[in-house]
Amino acid sequence: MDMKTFFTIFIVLFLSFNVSSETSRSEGKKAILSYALPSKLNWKQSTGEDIVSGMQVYNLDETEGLRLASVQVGNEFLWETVNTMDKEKIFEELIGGKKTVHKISGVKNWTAEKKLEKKSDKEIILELSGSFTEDSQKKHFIEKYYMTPYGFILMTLDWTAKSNAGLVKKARAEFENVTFKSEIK
Amino acid sequence: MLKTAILLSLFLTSFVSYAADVYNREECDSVIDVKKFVVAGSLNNPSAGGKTYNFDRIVGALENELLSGQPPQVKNFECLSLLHKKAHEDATEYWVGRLARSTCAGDNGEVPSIKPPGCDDDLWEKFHASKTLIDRSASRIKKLTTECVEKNGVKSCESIKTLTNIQEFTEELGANNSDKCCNTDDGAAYKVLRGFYTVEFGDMNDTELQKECYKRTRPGNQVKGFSSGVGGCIKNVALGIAEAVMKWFKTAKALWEVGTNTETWRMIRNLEVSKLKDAVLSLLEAMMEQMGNQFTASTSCFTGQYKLDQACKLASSIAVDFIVGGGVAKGAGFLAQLMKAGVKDMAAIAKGMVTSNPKIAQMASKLKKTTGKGTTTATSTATRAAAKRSASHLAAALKPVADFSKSVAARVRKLREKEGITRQSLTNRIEPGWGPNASVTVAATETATSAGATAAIQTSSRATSVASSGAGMTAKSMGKIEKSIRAFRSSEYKAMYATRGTRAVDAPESLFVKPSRLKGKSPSQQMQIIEDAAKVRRARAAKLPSDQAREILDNIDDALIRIRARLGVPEKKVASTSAGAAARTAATGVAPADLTAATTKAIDTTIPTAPASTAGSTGSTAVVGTATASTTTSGFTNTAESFINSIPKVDIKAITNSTTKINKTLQQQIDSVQTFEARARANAAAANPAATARSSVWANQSNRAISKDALRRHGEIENLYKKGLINAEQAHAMHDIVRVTENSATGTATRFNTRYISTPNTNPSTFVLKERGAPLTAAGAVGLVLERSIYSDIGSVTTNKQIEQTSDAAKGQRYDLDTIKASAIVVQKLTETPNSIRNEFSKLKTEAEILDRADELRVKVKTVENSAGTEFEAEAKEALGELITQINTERDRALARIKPKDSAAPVPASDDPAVKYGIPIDPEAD
Repeated sequence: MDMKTFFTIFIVLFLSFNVSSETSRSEGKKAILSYALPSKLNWKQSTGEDIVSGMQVYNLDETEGLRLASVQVGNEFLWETVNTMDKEKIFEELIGGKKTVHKISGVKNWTAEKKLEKKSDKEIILELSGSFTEDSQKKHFIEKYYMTPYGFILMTLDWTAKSNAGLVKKARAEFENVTFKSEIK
Repeated sequence: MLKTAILLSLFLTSFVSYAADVYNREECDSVIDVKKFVVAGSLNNPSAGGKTYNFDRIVGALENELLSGQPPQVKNFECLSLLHKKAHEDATEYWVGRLARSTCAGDNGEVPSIKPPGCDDDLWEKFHASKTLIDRSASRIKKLTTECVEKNGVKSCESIKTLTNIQEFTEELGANNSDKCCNTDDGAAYKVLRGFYTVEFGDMNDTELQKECYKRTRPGNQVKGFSSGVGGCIKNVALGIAEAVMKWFKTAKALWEVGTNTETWRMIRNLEVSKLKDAVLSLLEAMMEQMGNQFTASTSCFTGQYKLDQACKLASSIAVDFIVGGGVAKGAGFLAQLMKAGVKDMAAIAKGMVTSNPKIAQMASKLKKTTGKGTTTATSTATRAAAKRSASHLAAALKPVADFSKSVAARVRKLREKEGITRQSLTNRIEPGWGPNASVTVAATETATSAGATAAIQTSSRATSVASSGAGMTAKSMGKIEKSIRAFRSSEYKAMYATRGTRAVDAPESLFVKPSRLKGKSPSQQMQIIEDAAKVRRARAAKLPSDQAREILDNIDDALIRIRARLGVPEKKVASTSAGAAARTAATGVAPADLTAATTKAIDTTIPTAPASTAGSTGSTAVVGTATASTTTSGFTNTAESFINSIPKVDIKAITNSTTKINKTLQQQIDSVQTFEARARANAAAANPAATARSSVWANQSNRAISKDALRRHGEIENLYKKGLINAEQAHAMHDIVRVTENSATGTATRFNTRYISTPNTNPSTFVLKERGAPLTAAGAVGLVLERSIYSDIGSVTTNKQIEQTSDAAKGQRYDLDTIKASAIVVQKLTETPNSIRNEFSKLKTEAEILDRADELRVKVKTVENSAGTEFEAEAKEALGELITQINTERDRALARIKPKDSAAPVPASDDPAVKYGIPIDPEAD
């Protein structure tokens, strides 16, 4: 069956991400963070023992360099920082950390568009999209940080100049529609 | 990548084996005489089946240690106990291998009390005989160590108590390894804990840390689970960095840290997982190399699970805790550098890190730090005493072995489950497929013996390993195979094989020196030159693995024997020249062969022979594959002379050169059986231009045709050898059987000094190996004749067919047993009375009859003479020679008798003293 041609497949990724915050733990409840990404693309997930729990990486066979990835982390320390910090300061901190790594890893011309969306008192979404040069190759990225008092989900979309432009376009459009959800159960 | 994984695996394996309570050769070989207890094979042999233990001797020695009335020696007791445990473990492994495929073990892996249908009789009987032996030895030891067994007023329980006291006393007195390792000044383990375990023990003071150190360096520490430990460790190696990122994400307290981590993670997620693993392993390998001293020092201190933990820590976590210990940002920064550099530059990074990384500098400073000495001394004493008491090897020695049957059953189940083994009726095998992963039903070789005072069991895991061949191999199996492949790459093996396989024995002197060097020299000078050259060869061969060395040394010995015989140079030393391997064997303490009583015993690699009849004869043992294996080997080497003259001429030098060629391209040959075959053929063609020349490297480079089936089977054998499932000797023997079955007559040369001989088997998928029997002496032949004729034995000891197969005489020139026996009877008759020979001719009336009779008698005498080995007494040989002379004399006398009177020579009377006493007739006397 040619999934791409005949069917519209929605990859709905409900990640059973259980985060126990101090509060919820005391109440015997769990925080579940999840995301959903409707997609028509034939993403293939890297599987096996080599994948660390909490990380997910998807690739497309049809093109190189186009990769969708996520990591879910339970971290209650960060929320207060994120929740109280000034918007520009948040990005400054985040980008400052990145640039430290860039010095070592040889990333150049790093630029990013920044976006912050506060959905509720317990949900903030940060977004960075931009490009950089690495190994003389132009690379692009979109990062979405779904921050909550219980932890966060980081989702990324990467592609390079060599990636199929059509597929990149579709993937970007889909990635824009990713939705996040947190539940206390 | 694979290399690294194997290295790491072997590395960890060695830790575990070292850490566990196992027989430690370094410690124990100087304490007990291992050769006394391992009666065949060597402890060096990694295969469980590579040695034959004498259980009863081990138990007897333990009893002697405790009940002799002399003060027991702690070390002796420990080493003997641990050797028994090793024997028990090897036996278990061996039987797991044999039973897993058979129908003798049920679905639950257990061997039921009633023989299941399809279960091979021999396997069934041998297992039970083994079980009896093993259980009894375990039971005896248990009783000895847990109850008060009394002998001559000495009680074992009191001896055990004494041992315990001695142990504690000794440990209290001397500074043990824990002390050295945990010394806060310069203890290797202490420094490692302080320097490396920054996350885990960062907050501890010196006293607390030293306690941790003692805890981790106790001799009695156990490894919890080998496979899970190593597996987990290796997995952690691969995932170390990725997990580190997760860890940093979870511990990040600032968005700046999140930024470093997300950017680091970007690099990780854009790497292939396999590449990431490569990167980590390469880094670790380089780091290990760089920090070898610390690594060695620390791992020699830690014990049991802690040793494994430490290995894992240094292997996998070093990239995590160690790096992270320098701070999240630095750790992430380093990680970024790591990812950026790629696999190729990992070693350089590690080197740079060791010399310039701030974290390394920090660690180094901690390693040099000296603190808190006053505090630690007091704690050290208390902790040390506690640690020592509980950390005794004695405790391990006293721990009873597991139940044999249950262990076997559990492991059979596990093996079947793990490797998908299906049970087979041994009597109904299926021809295996051909290919690198072909599952070949060649199981363990089991030694059977002659004289049976020895109680022993030979163990083997080859069947297990065979079962594991194929894609589903475990890392351990892969490691084993890798090791064997390395062994196979040994040029010596190939050289040895080619030398044998090409029958390069017709000019044995050329194996040592150029024939031109011998020109103009006297025989003794020639012998001296050759022996000098042989010394060099011996020294070289001695460096090889024992099984290979033994074969090559045997070859050298045999060649020397033949050369000496040809040159007519008397032996200097009987011990060193008369029996090659036998001499060496005797020198190493194994009982020498009883040549007159030796018989060929069947050793069946797949369908074992019946249990030796010695079981129970001494009232003390159940025997499985009983023991004195060297007996037959040594005897056999003496028979080289019997076929030497029939060997076709080959150009030894050319063969040797061609062998060298093979060595150089051995890797390719291993990679491709087909390539090897082609090359071998080409080499043989180059080496054997003469139409009559033959060689018989496994791919059959001879001029004879060989069936595809035989080619396939030769290939399978090499495959088994490469995989380490059979040793070199067995490989030779199995090649041999293919040749014999193929009737190519090339097998005899390779068999002559191989420990095992092979016999054709009606089932083409199996190989029946027999350990060689000693050659028949004249006395032995007569004995056998008497056994059959006088005592009306129910059948021959060995069938004619078997004799035909086992003889080293050229095909068509071999003496079968009946011929030997018949000849011996005739010879015996000839010597019964002074007139016996004359009577043979007395009624003959024609010249033809007389000549025929004379020829016939001479043949009988020669048959007896030629059937004898080199140990045949010179006196007896001389007597046989005298018989020939007498036959000739009587022939002439008979011929003279039938001639016309006028031309006849005087015929002495039958009571002539010269005839009567065997004195040569002096014509002048008449």
